[in-house]
Amino acid sequence: MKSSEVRSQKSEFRVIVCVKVVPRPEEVKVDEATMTLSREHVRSMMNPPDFYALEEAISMKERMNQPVEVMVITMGPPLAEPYLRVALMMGADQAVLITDRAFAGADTLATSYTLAKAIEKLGADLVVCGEESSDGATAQVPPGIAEWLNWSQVTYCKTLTLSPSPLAGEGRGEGRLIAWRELGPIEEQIEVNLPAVVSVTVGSSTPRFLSEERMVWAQTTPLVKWTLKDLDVDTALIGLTGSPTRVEGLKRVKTPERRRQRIEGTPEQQAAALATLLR
Amino acid sequence: MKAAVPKKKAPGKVVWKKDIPLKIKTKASPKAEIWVWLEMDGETLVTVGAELLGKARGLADQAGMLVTAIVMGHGLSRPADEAIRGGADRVLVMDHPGLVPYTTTPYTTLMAWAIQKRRPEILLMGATHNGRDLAGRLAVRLKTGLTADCTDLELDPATGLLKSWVVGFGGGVAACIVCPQHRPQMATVRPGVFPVSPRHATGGELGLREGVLERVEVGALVNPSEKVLQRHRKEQKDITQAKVLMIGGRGVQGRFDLLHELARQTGGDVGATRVAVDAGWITREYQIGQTGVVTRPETAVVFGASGATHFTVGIEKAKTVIAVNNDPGAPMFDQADYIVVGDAVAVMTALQRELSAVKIP
Amino acid sequence: MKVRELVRAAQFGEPVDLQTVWRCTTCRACEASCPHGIPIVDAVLKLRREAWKVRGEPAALSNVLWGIHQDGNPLRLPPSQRMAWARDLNIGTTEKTDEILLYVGCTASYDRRAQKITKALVKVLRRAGVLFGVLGEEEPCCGEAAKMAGHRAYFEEVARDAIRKIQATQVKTVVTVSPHCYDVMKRDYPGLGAEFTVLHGTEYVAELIRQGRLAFTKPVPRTVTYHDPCYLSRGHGVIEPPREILKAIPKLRLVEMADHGTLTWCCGGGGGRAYQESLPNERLADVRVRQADAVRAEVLAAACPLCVTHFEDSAKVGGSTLQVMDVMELAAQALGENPKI
Repeated sequence: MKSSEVRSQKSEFRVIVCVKVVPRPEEVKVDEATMTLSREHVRSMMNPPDFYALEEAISMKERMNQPVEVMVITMGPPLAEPYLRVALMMGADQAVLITDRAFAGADTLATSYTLAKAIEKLGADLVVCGEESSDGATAQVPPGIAEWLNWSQVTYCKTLTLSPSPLAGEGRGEGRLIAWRELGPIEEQIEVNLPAVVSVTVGSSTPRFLSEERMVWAQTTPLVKWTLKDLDVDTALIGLTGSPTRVEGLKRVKTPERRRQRIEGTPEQQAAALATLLR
Repeated sequence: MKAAVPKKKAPGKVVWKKDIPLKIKTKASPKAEIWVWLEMDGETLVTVGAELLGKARGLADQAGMLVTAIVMGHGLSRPADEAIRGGADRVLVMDHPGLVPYTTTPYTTLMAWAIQKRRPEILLMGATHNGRDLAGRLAVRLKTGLTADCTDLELDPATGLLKSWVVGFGGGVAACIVCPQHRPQMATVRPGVFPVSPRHATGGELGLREGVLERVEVGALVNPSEKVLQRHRKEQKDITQAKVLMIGGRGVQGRFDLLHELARQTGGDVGATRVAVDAGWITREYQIGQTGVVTRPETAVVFGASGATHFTVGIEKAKTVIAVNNDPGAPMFDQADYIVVGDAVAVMTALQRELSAVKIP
Repeated sequence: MKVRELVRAAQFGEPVDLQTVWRCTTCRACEASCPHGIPIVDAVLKLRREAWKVRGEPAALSNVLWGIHQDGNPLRLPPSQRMAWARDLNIGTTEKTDEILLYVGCTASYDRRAQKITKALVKVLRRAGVLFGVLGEEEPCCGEAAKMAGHRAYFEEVARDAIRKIQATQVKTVVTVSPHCYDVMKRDYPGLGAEFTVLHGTEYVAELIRQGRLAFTKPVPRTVTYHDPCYLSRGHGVIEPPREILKAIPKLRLVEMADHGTLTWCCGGGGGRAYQESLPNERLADVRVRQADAVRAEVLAAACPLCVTHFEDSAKVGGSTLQVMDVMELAAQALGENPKI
């Protein structure tokens, strides 16, 4: 499908949602000889926490007093395309696939750099991410993007309230963001300047299912596809070259079946064994 | 030492940090340093800090390195002492009211500044919410490698590199990560992975550790662009956060008093199957399963539940499942690591007695 | 559950009580007694379709649809585990020459109680010498949960995919375990391009008995009452075949409970209700268990995985000693399989 151009309306509040397509964790295979992940016959899925990010962004279209545009982007291989279309069916307005072999092998430093460069080129007022990805689970990309862009960051948000000032001319990203953060047993309300990068917690909302009216359009509308030449990046900072960390050893940890070990004896004896387990 | 005020950046304009070189090689120093960031929760040190100090001390002794703790907050004399007692050779204290509570901007700026001044080899941080908030940004500020949620840390005897072991893909894959050239080598570790430093725990014996306390003047740099409006403990019942769950099904015959006690004794919470909730033994926010909540505790102890699929989907992700049921053929036993065939009430009573006899730390 | 109020409100464009819309189990009891023959279930499903447009859907059903979309099943269990039930059974994928394609369905594949029903049916088919296969891990969801949730467009997408995969096997007859899969395959699939015949497990097994391919040799000396699953009896008139199977079992005493046949009650699992919470005083399954107790049955038999799981829960809570079994489990027992009752 031909790649299309990005549509931009300066009067719209643009929210960019970064999503990731990940392998299903229970199917992941490791080639211990080459120390790489085997992608063959492994089903993929959208990173589950990203649904909450999408829901948060799309619900802003309903909540805010001005036009909001939701753009979904991902850095990944071509197989990510149908997942971007799922986001469009949920309610996103435009999708951008950032794909190039040169970006492969990136750790979180190089990934956040590449995404930040794409966001810089697209222009946005707010970036929303899931709290972490189900594969690496580092939660480093959202703060990383914020740092590359020199924007505010708020991680582990469960609600967001925006008070953007009217956007005048080309000044993107004015106004304040108030977020409630979910910090385990503590909750915190924090206010930061826009533009900002936020990560949203799992369970912060109920991700809406596909909208019937959007299904046909989303399947056929052209997506924007950017490769290396479309982004103004320093090649020393992308992909494997731009990754300070590398994997030295990799092994499959079989998700163990339950042990099913019997504890025998009188209730007192069983209780003693349980007490040991509980310490 | 006094911190320099950074240049103000024009708002809305993206500035690329070209002033920091991409690779920071460690300067030759008398002794290389392992830094541990100690997070504060109000006036107390968050426990993971003590865990990391213990680990850092072990690594440092192995390789002839120094351990420096860095603690930021307000009212830090006691924490600084604890840091030395816990294994640090030096504590950098950044004490300022503006540093409570944690906010991203000043913490990142201060850490980055201190690290660029002192060039540590390794930086360890607890993978708490704010630890991850800070580590992710700091690693990019410093253009260095960060390995998250390590389950173990080693120093390679040949190369001197930090080897960080991590688990990914929901626990399905274990990897050893290194950061060969960039410094500091950063790693975050979840609370509870390493034991609390033995020195720290035993208190009395250590007393006489010596260390250097260095107060850092930070006033000018503490200028958070964030504003914390409120901060408090959550009110709503939320059993999904519990590390230990004591769960009751039909077989507990209403004895949720025992379950509450067991939960209290183990620092956990109570859960219930739908049958127990329907019977009126406990309210619905404790219900676990397909039409209740999905939990992922370290340990789930399930008393008197047969193990129907609509319930077990709520505890599948538990690390360890212990099941007690008087029916040896209960499907619940297929989903358990430890099987106790017996009367739920009898076992709960015995367990409660057993736990009250020995204190759990 | 005021059906008349609901339909009137919809007719006159008045605000509809969403609670009522979602409470419906689509059991068609109202349709059976409606003097005007109004397709009430269709109306309810259309109202549900409208509810999605204003985000009036229950969160539980949103989750169910994401399950079908992401995991291939409403229970949100991994696709790679769909054939776990068949681990020791050595069941092959379908061959062109198979007599039937056994369409297992999501509940019967993944729910641990329901898996026993599936295994029992497999044993019965094997004893009758039937050549059959399954679609395996790639078996698609039939989409019934999506239809009942009211998301028509997504249901059709799922259904078309299922039809494509079933027809690719070139097997002309599909046998289902669940009356729910059966319902959409009979009602909706032909209009979406399906050209295969669909039978419920009990219809097929009753036919095997009639053809002499199956003979029950082991007596099952129990008093059994049979609950008609609402989708089977009122939905499709499949009332006699399960009874034929039970009557063919030696020493089995079949007694009828109140409200049997087309007067049956829903167990509470229909219409997407299986995935949602119902208040204790609204549990239809509780009533059925009491009715079974009232005729002094030892076993309450059903022919639906949802009915079986619902009744077992109710029996447990209510302290009944009633044993809940699927017709297929009784049949397997009468063939000498399944020693444990």
